[in-house]
Amino acid sequence: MTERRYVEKDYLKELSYRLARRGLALDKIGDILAEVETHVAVTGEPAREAFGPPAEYARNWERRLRVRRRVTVCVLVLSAGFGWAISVGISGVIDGKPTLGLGAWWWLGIGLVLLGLAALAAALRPHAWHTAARGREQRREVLVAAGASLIFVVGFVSVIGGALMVGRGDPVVGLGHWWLIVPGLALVVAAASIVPLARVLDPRSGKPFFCTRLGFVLTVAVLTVLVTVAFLGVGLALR
Amino acid sequence: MDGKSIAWPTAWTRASLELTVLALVCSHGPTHGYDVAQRLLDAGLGEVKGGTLYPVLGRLEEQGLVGSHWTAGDGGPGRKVIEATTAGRHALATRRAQWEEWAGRVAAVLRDGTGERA
Repeated sequence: MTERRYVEKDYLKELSYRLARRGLALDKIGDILAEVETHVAVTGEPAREAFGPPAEYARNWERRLRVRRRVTVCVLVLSAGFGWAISVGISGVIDGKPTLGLGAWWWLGIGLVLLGLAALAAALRPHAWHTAARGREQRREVLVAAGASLIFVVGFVSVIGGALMVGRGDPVVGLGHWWLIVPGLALVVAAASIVPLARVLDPRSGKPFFCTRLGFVLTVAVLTVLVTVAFLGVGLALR
Repeated sequence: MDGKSIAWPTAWTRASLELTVLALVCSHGPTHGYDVAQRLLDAGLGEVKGGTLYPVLGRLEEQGLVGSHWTAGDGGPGRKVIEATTAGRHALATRRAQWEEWAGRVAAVLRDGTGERA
């Protein structure tokens, strides 16, 4: 009996992941997971037999994916633009040279505008920041999300600035590149660990099905390390 | 012919499932997903797995043709109660008439190949 329960939990976790990848709203995912649990409890039919493999079942729920993909591409392009503009801005602050005729502060300003647009596009996604939390808890989560975003931006800019310094060798405000990269990475991971994303709530109890935060933290950490390595490569190439 | 033992072509089941599910929810609601599956089986339309049925119910809900809410279960997990909306009942009346017209035309073609109805 205990073993059976663990098997079902694994099924639900994988299904949750597959549905989230397909862009379903978190409250809808909670609804689908609860339906699976109830169906299994009432009929006694194993989940895999009744619903098929999680990936296959998730495909049956696919909706308006093209629209969501367009929004996702838009968010990614704007975020990349933000990263590029901020990097160019930091580079300009370090060496005082304009890029494409614009000074460092122009680039930093453009970067912030692009960040705002990316955040706006992300907010337009149907499931973005949707936590199914209500009332006071929802307000608290929005505040935590805003704080986490701020910490993330500071950490991200710090990491990229440090990585670009590798190719120049000049310290920024008296700090070497590792003094920017390491704390920057720590800030990014800290931001990822408090951001209230990926909470799938059980519609029956209002409690989370399971904590997927660790996976989110690891994903952000790995992506940030990859971005850092890429910028380190650019920095070394410029040397 | 016992409908429960017949393996109907998947395409037929797929084409008619949304309409038959809506009809069963209209006739027997408030009801549950597994109850609808059992009624489909009893009606001789074959066994419809949860993996196929629940997304159909989800689509009907998205279209506003059925509504749902969760209720506490007796010693077990809560249950999702589904019920037809007024829009669902209107849609069923329209689609049922269209389906009967369509089925009649298909039957006419299958009968003599001309498509002229008897």
